[in-house]
Amino acid sequence: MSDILQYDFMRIALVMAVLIGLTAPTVGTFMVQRKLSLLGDGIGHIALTGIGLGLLTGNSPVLGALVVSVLGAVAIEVLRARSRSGADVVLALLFYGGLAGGVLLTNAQGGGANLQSYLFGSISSVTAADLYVVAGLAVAVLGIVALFGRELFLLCQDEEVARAAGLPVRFLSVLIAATAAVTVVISMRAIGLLLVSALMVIPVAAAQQLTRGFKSTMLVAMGIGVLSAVSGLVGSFEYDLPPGPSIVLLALAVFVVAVIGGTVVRRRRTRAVPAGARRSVEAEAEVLGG
Amino acid sequence: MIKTTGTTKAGGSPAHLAPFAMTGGHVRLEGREVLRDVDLTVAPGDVLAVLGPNGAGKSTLIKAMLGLLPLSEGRTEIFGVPAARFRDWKRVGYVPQRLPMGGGVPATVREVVASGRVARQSRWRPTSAADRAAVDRALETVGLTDRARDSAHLLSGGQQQRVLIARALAGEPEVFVMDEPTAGVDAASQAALAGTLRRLAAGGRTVVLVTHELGPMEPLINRTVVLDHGRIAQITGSTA
Repeated sequence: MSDILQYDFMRIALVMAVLIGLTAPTVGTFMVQRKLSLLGDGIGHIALTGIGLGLLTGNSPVLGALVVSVLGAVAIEVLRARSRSGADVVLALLFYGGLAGGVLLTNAQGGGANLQSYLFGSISSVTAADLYVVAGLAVAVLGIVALFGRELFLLCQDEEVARAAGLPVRFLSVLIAATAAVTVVISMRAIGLLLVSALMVIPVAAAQQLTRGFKSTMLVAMGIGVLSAVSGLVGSFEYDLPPGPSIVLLALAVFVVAVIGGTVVRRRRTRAVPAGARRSVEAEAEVLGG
Repeated sequence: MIKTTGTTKAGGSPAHLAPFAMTGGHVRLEGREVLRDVDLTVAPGDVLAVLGPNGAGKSTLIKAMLGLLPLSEGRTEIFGVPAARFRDWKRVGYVPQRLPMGGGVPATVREVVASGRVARQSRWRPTSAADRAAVDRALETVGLTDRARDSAHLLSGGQQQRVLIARALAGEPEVFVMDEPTAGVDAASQAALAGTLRRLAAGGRTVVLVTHELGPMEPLINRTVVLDHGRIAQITGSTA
């Protein structure tokens, strides 16, 4: 561990891994509850066109990815709201259009090899300037969740109830999608656009095996996110493996452990049910009396 | 406990206005007319039951009254304001038929109930002591205080229904709109619901509820509307 910290790029990469591990599952918790687990994956495809545009025009690829993926996310939400029946086809068109556009544009620029580093991540090429951008975006994402969390929670529970509570449902839907897009851009240098969605979804899927509440699921998922991002990065350095896939496979390993652990915990709880059931019958009797 | 006095009237339309008033309401869903020419006014203090067979348009009616479904013809108002322009949503509590699973992220009973406060909360302020007290009262009213930390989705159907009612109670609205609160609910939860309803009625709250059968709630209801094939077949009882 100590020799890892001797390298500048590894210190930067580690900080980045912590930021990604925190933000991706935070946004992911809302996405999973909204049944939009694959939204991040789709945005990743669209972001490729942004990278291509950035490279071609001599601008920062990160900026290009940010602009195009946020616009793509907004487009997805608008199309989802407009066309109920053909929504998944519309999404497919956007995703494949984004991927094809990205490959074409980067090829035109002669950066085919460069594309690889965005598809699967290349954390060793990350600079301090990259880190500041990622840190800024991560703060923005966590700030949005802190500010709008209560409203997003109700939206993800039941959209109709959210509307009957006077919440700006359309704005909040676009906000989740746009926040997901920003998170994709944060994570792309480290784990790559094709695997970015994994860190938004897998830690949440693992956490919900063990928890009873929404907030606790989010917190446990953040813990799993940081754990797999940091240990995946360290492992990839030690054993000379690509970091993105190492991080994702570690998160999957945590998921498998959580499924087994969750089953054991639930079994124990079921065995303890007689006491719980008695309690609820008493509560019901009280209500009847009152 | 539900407060019997001090109903919030501030910041909205005058209190004497009808919570809901629909005139000549039609709703069309996927080319089919599911609600036809409905005239219905719900007066303050009414406890109104919407009855009728499956597919008669009961849920459509209440969703249209709340502005969740647009009318193809006619107009509908909430507290005197056209539903599409109504903004004072803290006066209305909507209880849907069920608690959707979504993507399976768990939520505790308390988290679900607390989300009923959202229309009263500012984005910029953290949860207040008043918010917490309202959630405590709502949980106590439906008898789920001891289940507050459990996952809402693992409760029985009747208990989940009580969670949804508690969520509406937590918002302390003047009007409750409940979609089949007794469907698939065990006898104990039905009785608990009737008790809750009695307190709401005694507190002067307006309640609109969709149901198949009145059961233990019958003595509390002062008006019934029977729907058949999207039309009002019968209205009985008088305004409160």
